[in-house]
Amino acid sequence: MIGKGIAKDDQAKERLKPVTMNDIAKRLDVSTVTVSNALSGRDGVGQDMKRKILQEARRMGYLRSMEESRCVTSKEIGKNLYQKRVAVYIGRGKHCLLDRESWRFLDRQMEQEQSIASLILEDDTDAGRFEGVICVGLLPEGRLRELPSVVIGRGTAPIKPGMDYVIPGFYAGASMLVDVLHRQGHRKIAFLGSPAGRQTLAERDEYLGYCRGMMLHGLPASGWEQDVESVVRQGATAVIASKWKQKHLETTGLSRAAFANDWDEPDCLAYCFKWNILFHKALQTLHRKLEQPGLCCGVQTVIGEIRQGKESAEQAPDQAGKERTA
Amino acid sequence: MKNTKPDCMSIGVLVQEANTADRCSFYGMLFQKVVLEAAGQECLTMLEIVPKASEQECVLPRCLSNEGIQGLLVIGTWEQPYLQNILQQAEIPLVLLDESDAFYACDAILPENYFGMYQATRHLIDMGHQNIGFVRPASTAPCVLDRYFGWRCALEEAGLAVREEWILDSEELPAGKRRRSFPKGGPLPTAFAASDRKAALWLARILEKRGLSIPEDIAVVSVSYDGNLLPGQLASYRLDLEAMARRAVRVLSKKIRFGDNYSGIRFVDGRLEKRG
Amino acid sequence: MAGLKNGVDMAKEIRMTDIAAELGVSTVTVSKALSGKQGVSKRLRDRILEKAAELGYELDQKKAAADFLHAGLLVANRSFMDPQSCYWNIYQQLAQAASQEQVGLLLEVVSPDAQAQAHLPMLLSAAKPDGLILLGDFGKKYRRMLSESSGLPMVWLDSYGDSDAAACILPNNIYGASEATGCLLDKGYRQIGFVGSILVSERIRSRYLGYVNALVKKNLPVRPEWVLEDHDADGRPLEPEEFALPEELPDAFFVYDSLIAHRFATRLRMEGFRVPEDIGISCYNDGWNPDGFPCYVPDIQKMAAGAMIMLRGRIRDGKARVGKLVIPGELVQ
Repeated sequence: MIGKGIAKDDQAKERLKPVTMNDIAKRLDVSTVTVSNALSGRDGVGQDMKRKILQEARRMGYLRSMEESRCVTSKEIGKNLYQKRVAVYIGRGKHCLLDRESWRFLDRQMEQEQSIASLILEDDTDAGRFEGVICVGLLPEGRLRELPSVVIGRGTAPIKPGMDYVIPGFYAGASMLVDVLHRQGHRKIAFLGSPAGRQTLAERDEYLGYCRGMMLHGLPASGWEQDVESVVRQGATAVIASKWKQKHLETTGLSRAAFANDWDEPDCLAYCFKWNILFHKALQTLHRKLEQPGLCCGVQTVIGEIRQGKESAEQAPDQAGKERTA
Repeated sequence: MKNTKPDCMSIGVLVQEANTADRCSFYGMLFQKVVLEAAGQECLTMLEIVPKASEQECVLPRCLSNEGIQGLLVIGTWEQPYLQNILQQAEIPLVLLDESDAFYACDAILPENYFGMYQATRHLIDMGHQNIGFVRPASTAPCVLDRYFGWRCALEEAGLAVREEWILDSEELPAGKRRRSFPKGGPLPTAFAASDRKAALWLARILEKRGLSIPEDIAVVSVSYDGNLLPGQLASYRLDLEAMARRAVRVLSKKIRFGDNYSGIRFVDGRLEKRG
Repeated sequence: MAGLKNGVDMAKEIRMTDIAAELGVSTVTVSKALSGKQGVSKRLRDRILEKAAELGYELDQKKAAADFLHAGLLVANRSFMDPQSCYWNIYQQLAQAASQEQVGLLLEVVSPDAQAQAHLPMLLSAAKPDGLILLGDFGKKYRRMLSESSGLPMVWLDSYGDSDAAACILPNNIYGASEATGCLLDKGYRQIGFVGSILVSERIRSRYLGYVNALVKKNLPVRPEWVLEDHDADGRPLEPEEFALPEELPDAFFVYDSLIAHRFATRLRMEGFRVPEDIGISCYNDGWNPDGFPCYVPDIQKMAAGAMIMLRGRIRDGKARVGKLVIPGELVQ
């Protein structure tokens, strides 16, 4: 029995190990540099070879890692906002899409480069200075309601007809994460979200997307777990967490997948919101609204990108192996 | 035929034979919109109708071996092996319409099924309904699942009960699964969200048999693509086929002109159409 | 599955993938190499040919590839505007006929502007077709431009071309309309009207002549007040409520197109008439007959196949005087 268990462990290990650029390079008999250039869209690779590399990467299930992805350039965002006299409203409450740290980070960057920190609003006192407002994570309030606005995210209230939303694809993203975990061999995947009372609308989308992904693969979906212990108790081999910075999660040895911003550096598989595209879309929509008063664009979903974190999946096979031989 | 005029592009359009029969069906109409949009964007189109047998045997479409074709637009939901074969063998850019690549590495244009059903259900909630059921077909296609979850999302957000016995099956299920028809006892919903027009029609028949009428007794919303509502239906979320076709052709032509860097899914929103 | 499918031997097609698998290249590359198309390096092409010979692959494919034709299809925007228009059916049949006949068919939809100003089609400059198929009506100016400036062999499908010698494939407009009208006469109707704007196109005119033929045969008069328009003054098709009905209605109508018949029947029903109990209708079925009126159905599949064969003939010998080829349809009650 023991021998069988170990063999299964090795198999599981092979299956669950993330694919690296080296693997692709070896398979196609080219250098890692060529693969890297092809995947990031740099020059120096012929069209044919580039296509071959992209196809092979797809076939092997390769995901870009954090280091290779380009981070959002807040300078670009800031400049565009400034030119169009558009404010960004983040509110004071706890329901902000980004946690305050992340937003302060962007804010500081913009301040350093363009001295336009005043574009970020916490309330409606300066509403009169702007032509439009992008609301991040919540609906416009007070005098901001009079301005043409676009909401990035799900807001704190149900979607209103007549308002424009740019949604970072929480639902679709969760389903994509399930797909990737499934392809890596996991069959028992749990969902870990915030405790009751702190659950956001975005998280609900994520949970439903998780359920959808599980249903498509014929797997049973777990309930909305609220703490790490209950996830471990279920015997899951992988978990999708709505926040990657969850306490105690790294120590469980489970394979993790989570949602992150594209400037975060999660150490696990993550669906990353592409903020430059979200802002670009929001600005584009606002621009059209300014040109055509009364125009309503409805809901626009922008899909982010799945990226492989720095974590290796070596701990997981122990759990998985144990679970299978049990 | 080498394409010597850079502004004008030649694209192939792949459709399944079964989808070309009925011009009023979803794919029938979508295909027409694609041809017209392509014409509007100065594209020449080569249509290839693929019979079921070729699809099952993974025979490569002829468009791919034709030099003049610079891109391929694939319409409909295909057998995965056939699709994967094309994706691996194709040397020209590809865009999928109403289908997505399992590996997410190919451009796909999808309708907003999730938020669509959500908006339709929210309309019912805004009208005061608190007990809302769902009618779904037998298929477990992703689009049907999306609509189910959109309905569920709207209810859960509003704190309303999601009752299993109010999720009705409008068609016979494959062997081994119990079909849920209209609830016999217990509280009744005051409204239903139907996954598509066929499900709504089934619901109307069932209600008529029980002497219930739409909209006096039961309010109904659904997802539609042609704006055809049942008499008495409150509203429908109408998928925008024209916008989908336009987006697909535009994405493909950009890929042909500027190369193959970003690949991903794009969702096209429709609109909620209310009956007076 | 051995045997011929779509003109290509299936057993051979399977072996092309074998060659591809053995060499680690794509089937598309193998196909290009074997048929002498561009896009394959000389070294790789030699390797492929070598491997093909080694596997015993039959190289008759090369000859088949040489027979491959490139054709352009021109359709006026107006023909495609209605989703139920018969031209969609014909287009589909043409696409299927094209793949069976080893013809690559590229569609260009001619915009109303381009048609009015007789611009050269994009097909001529963008792609270099061996021949053109023209589907539907184009207007005199555009037709003349094509025959003078395109320099390509042309086949006119469901339209009358620019001269007597133009190669045309037509359904049996006159005979069919006559048969469909005859169907009403057989049922006992004697007062029969016609719905169709005869000034708009030759197709409508021909069917009108067929209707006249059927009446004259039975020595019945043709009353002008019973010939109703289905287009308005600008050439736009009428909506059901816009049809102008005469004071005294005949017992039955022959409508030149089944889609128009449906609209017309809707109008009659709006006026309180039951169709077909009070007023009988027969029509020429161009693809969509939801009311199930007795109709004459053209054989679109044969027309499409005929167009391909005629096109090949024209490309091979452009000087031959071909003239019109009429494809028979059938009467369906």
